[in-house]
Formats: sequence, structure tokens, C-alpha cells
Amino acid sequence: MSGGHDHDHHHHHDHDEEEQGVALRVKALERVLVAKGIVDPAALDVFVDTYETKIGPRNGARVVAKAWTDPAYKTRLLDNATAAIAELGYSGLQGEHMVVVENTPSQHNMVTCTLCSCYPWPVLGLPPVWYKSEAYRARAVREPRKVLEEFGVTLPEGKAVRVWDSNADLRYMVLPERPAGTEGWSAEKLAEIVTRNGMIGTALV
Amino acid sequence: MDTIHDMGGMHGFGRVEEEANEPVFHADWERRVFAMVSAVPFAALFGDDQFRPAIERIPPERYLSISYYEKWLDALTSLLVDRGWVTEAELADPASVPVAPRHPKAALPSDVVPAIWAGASQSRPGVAVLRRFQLGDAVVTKRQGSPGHTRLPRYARGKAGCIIKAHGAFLVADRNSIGDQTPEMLYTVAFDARELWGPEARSRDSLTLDLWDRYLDPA
Amino acid sequence: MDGIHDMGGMQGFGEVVDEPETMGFHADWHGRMFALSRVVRYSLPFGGDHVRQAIERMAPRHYLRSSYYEKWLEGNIACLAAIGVVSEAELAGGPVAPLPAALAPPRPMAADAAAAFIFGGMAGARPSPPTPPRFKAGDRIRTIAHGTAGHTRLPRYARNQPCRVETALGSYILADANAAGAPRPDWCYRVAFAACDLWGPEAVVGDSVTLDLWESYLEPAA
Repeated sequence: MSGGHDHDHHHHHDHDEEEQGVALRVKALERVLVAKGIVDPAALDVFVDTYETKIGPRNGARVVAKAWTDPAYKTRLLDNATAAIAELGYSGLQGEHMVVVENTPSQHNMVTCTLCSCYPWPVLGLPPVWYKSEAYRARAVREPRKVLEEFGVTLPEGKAVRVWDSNADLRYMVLPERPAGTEGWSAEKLAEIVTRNGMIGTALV
Repeated sequence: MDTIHDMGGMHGFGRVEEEANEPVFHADWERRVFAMVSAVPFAALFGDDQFRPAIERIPPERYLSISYYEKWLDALTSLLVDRGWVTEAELADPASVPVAPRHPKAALPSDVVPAIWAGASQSRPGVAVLRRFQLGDAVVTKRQGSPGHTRLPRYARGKAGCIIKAHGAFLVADRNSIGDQTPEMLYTVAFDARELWGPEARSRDSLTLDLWDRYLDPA
Repeated sequence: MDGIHDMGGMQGFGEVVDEPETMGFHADWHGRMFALSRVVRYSLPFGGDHVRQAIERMAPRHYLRSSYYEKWLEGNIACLAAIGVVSEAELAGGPVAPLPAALAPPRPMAADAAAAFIFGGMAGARPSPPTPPRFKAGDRIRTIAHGTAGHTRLPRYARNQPCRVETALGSYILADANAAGAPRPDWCYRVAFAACDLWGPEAVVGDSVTLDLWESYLEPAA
């Protein structure tokens, strides 16, 4: 857009100020709720710590690696993901009703939520900024292949794309295809190559 | 393009505020923007069907944050920059731009009032075009939008309506925006409000849109 | 509600910009806001559907200018204000009023209860609706044509479209009814749409979109 640089400059400046204003407003809200006895700040600390250190995409990577190395587990995972994920100790908020969808040579899966930003927290943690962006929410359902190209993914001819717009109570994770050349790898080693984007469906593994 | 400009039926925009004794322009810069947008097309640079898509390409957050004439200014400058008529550097430092001879098509003061009264009709009454529908015909609008500029709003897609007028041949906004001036039959189509909005609407209320032949299928 | 939040299929939002895989929050206040939003639900009578509805009611310009957690902030403040728990005057530093009698005494989540809440989740009761499911896997059906002024989880792009039931998912509380304050269960289905039906010739044949949709959004194919 014309004058874009100039506008962007002011824009970011404004946004910085706005950001400070928002941070103060959050502080004010916490102060009021603590004063009213509705919120114990120590409980807030547990939430922050848990999602900063315990719940993140490495959980999902371990689920994927186990599915790649244990066919019986993979069957259970695709049949009842909530229960199979709980076998590894992962459960809870925004993962109460989990579904795992498998990438195959004929179908690539990609997860979005167009109406807000629903996301499977117990296995992937909290969503990245791009997943929550207007661009992803608007475009993933309509032009998934262009979005994939921006993530460096070009799918072979004839592979169908299925987008899962998760707007109700179920939360989705993609089981990527196991890459060639990883035969004989341990689950631990495999988990290291499983990426967050691979489990959302904006990357191959 | 299904961008932020396509607002028909959207919720959340609040009350319509009426301004008492609203002036024609609210600021001097609005006068200049209005006049420039109206005068530059004399140089055959663009018409409405190029200007509107330029407005539609304004990023959504900015689109909702700026005023009407700021949108005009953004669109005008983006068209001029895209076509190489001016550069961002020149806009940032207008004093640096050497004064060139007057462009042969630049509007003269004496051109303006006759041009305003003459208008810029996109009607092409002399051109024979296919007329597929008669008054009273039931039609259904196309279900999908177009990747480019279009005048079929999202809220009116895949909806049943009735032809209530045929206006003759007009340039098609979708095509004219990309340089194709083949005219097409333009109709006024009436829609029952309940067809558009469901049971929340009142029966017997209705809405009309002027739609080109390409937006319509027989019901 | 056909608000600015209903973005599926909208154009003009630019590129999606990837970022490195990390855990944690981009700013301290994100973490505090995230935690606050969870903790208040433990002791106060509103949930995700109410906060989403409040976020959807933000002025569109404000919505687009706001980051994710700023939307959470405004959505939560709106819900808290609606039940008399916070006011703008209090947030501005004014005297803090006591809790409304109906909500007193407060029962805040204790720090040692937080982990159980996080890992236990909030799967509520899922009673069955009074009527049996209308549809079954394999049925060719369509979505209803119209939205509503209230909260709904049927996006605009998926209305008035032919589709196919892939899986009957059982009963879940209908978000629309819950947000309106009259929760009731409804049958939910995983429904598949051909991308070409949704987007026309710009889509690739064979591509598809699935949505989990309540029976209230569905009707038999004409």
C-alpha cells in the first residue's frame, strides 16, 4: 500500500503504546480480582509455569514417535486419541476430546479454527502467533495449498488436502507420515524430528 | 475478492450515527483528495472499476481504522505508484519533483464542470447483448465469489431472487477492472429478506441488487 | 453472529508468517492473562462460549487491532462486568467494591488445585438430547442457509452447502444455546465439504474441509 512504510512505522509505534496500555489493564484486572478474593495469584503462577515448562509440542512429538514405532498404539491413537494420549500422561484443558488424523500418501491434513483459535493444548501447548493470525484463520480453509507453499511445503500431484476447521468441542492433531530413512530409529530419536508445524499440518516431517 | 469491504449483513458495527448539519467536506485535505481522485482519471489512468479494487486491497485493520477519504487517498496513491506515475520517494519529498509540462490529458479548469454534468456512464446501449431473463423470471445467484473484483456480495450468493428490471448493456465491473470492456445485460434482482437472512427477517421485506448476467443462473 | 471473527475464506489478510517452535509467552502479561482467564472460570459462572461471544462483540476495528490475549482480556472483562464482578471504575484504580452477594463468599482456585484442573480438563456432562440423532455416517445432507444474531459455530463460508456426514460424534452442549444462557445438548457430527463446493473453480478437485457441526446446523438434502 502506498505510504506503507510511513504508516507501518506509526502503526508499530502506536502498537507499542497500546501494548503497554493492555499490559497495565491486565495488571489492573489481576489486582481487582485478587482484592475481591476471586483469584489466588499463586494459582496464576502455576498456570504460567505449567504452560511455559511442562505443556508444549514435545508432548505431541512423543505421541507421534510412539505411533510410528508401535503399531498397536497407532491403532488405539486413531481409534480413541484422548485415551491413547492419556497413556503417555497427557490430558486436560482443550484436550478433553482429542482426534488424531493421519497423513497418508493420498491425503495431507491441516488443522485450523476459523472462528477463534481452538488448539489441542495438552499435546501442542499454546498456539503460535501465526496460528492465531487473521491470515491463517481466513486462508487455511480456502487456499490451503498457497498457505502450505508459504511454509515451504509443495505437495505431490494427486495428494488431496483436507482442512479440519475445529470449531466445536473436539481438538485435532495431525499424525505426520514417518520419513523414509528412519528405519530402526528409537522413539526418542524420532520424537526429536517431529515438529509442531508437522502436527498442525503446515509442515512435513 | 472477499475482503473487509464486503460488509453486507455483518454484525458488530454498532449504531448508525447521523451528524447534524454535516458539511460537504470535513477538512481541506478531503477537498483536495476528492478533487484529485476526480481529476486524475482525465488522464485515462483509471476509472471506478480500477479505483474500487485499490480500496478493497487496503489491509483490513487499516481499512477499518481510516476515514472514507483516507481510503480514497490510499487507493489513489497506490494506483499512481503501481503504475509508475509517482514514486514513494517523490511523495515523501514533493519539493524534489521537477515541474514537467502539462500532460495533454490533464483536466483543464474549463473541462471540469461539463465533465461533472456529462457523467461517466458505463451503459453501452448500442451494443447487442444476450438477454437470458425476462421480467418475473426466478433466478439463483452464483454460489461462489471471484478471485478478483466483483459486485456480487457474499450475503447474496447462492440465493433465489426474481428479475424485476432489465437495464440493457453495461460494462461488467469484474471484467472492466482488468481491462475487458465487453458489456453484458444488467438486471435488478429482488430478494425476499427471509431468503437472505432467514427467520430473523420480516416476511414481505425485500432487498434488490443490480446484478450482471454472469452472476445469475435460472432457478 | 456474523461478526469480524468469522474469517474463514476472507481475503486481504496477507501472508502467514511462521515462527520458531517455542514454549512460553511472548510477554509477561500474556501469561498472566492466560492464567487469569482459566482461574476465573473455576469459581465464576461463565465459560468459553460466553467469553467467545463477548470477544465477537468487540468493535471490529478494535478486534483487528488486538492481539490474541488482548481479545481474551476484553472478553473476560465483559463477562466479569456482566455478573458484577469488575467495573471499569475499579480497573481505573477506583475503590474495589465487594463481590455481589450471589457470588460471595469467593472460592478461589488454590495453587495446589491448579495442576489437577489443568490436567483434568473441563469435560462436562454430556447428556443425550431428548430426540434420537437425525443423521448417520454416510448421509448426504446440507447446512442451513442462515446465521443468527447470537453466538454460533457454523461459519458463514459453510452455510447453505451440500455436505456428507463422516462420523456421528455423540452429544455435546450446543454452543449457541450455552452462550445464550440456556444450555442444552445437541447431536454433533463430523461433516465433510468438497472444497470445490465451497470455493468453486479456484479449489483443487479432491480437496476437502471438515467441520464438527451440531444437528441444529444441518438439514436433509433437498
